Amino acid sequence: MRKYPYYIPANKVYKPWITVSIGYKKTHKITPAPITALIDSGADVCFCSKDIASFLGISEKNKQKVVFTTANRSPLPTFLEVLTLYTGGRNYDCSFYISDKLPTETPIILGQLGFFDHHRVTFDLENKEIEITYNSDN
Amino acid sequence: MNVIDLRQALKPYSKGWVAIDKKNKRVVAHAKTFASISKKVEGIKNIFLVPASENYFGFVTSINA
Repeated sequence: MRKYPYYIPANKVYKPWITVSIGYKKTHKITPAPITALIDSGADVCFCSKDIASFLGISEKNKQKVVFTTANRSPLPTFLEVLTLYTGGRNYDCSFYISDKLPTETPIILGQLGFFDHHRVTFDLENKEIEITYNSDN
Repeated sequence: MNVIDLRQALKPYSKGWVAIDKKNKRVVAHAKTFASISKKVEGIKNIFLVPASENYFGFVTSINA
């Protein structure tokens, strides 16, 4: 089990962010430094911005397309690719849905499938910490 | 646990990407795109990347296929 602090990017805003790196096996590229990612229990899957995907050399061609619906009912077009998620001193293959329509402040969203199914997560805003246990640690 | 307070570091930036030193939380680089920030931080250790935004408040997700 590891504990992570909350982030404060602006006054009275507490974000359950962790830093992760993302790699793409087909191009052998990895993000040059850890990136803040939102741990989001309300997201069904994991998302990654197209900006980051392009850097990793991922092409949209011949990829499965999925359109999600956001909280305000607007469509979120994505395509699927399996990336390597580096977090908590481990890495594993994780399905990411890639989109150029993600909010700019959340280029990586860690959702139920891909993150919560690999970890037990406890949000403790009162103590400004997040406890994350990798499932095989249980 | 101590929070990671980025208020001062992020204040001057409303778009693009910011590279922040892990220890002192100071900005070491800023760029408009992920590709350009990646180039700027090549070889720099102990940093992390944060997207800059005008507003970090009011975000809500419920993303269902």
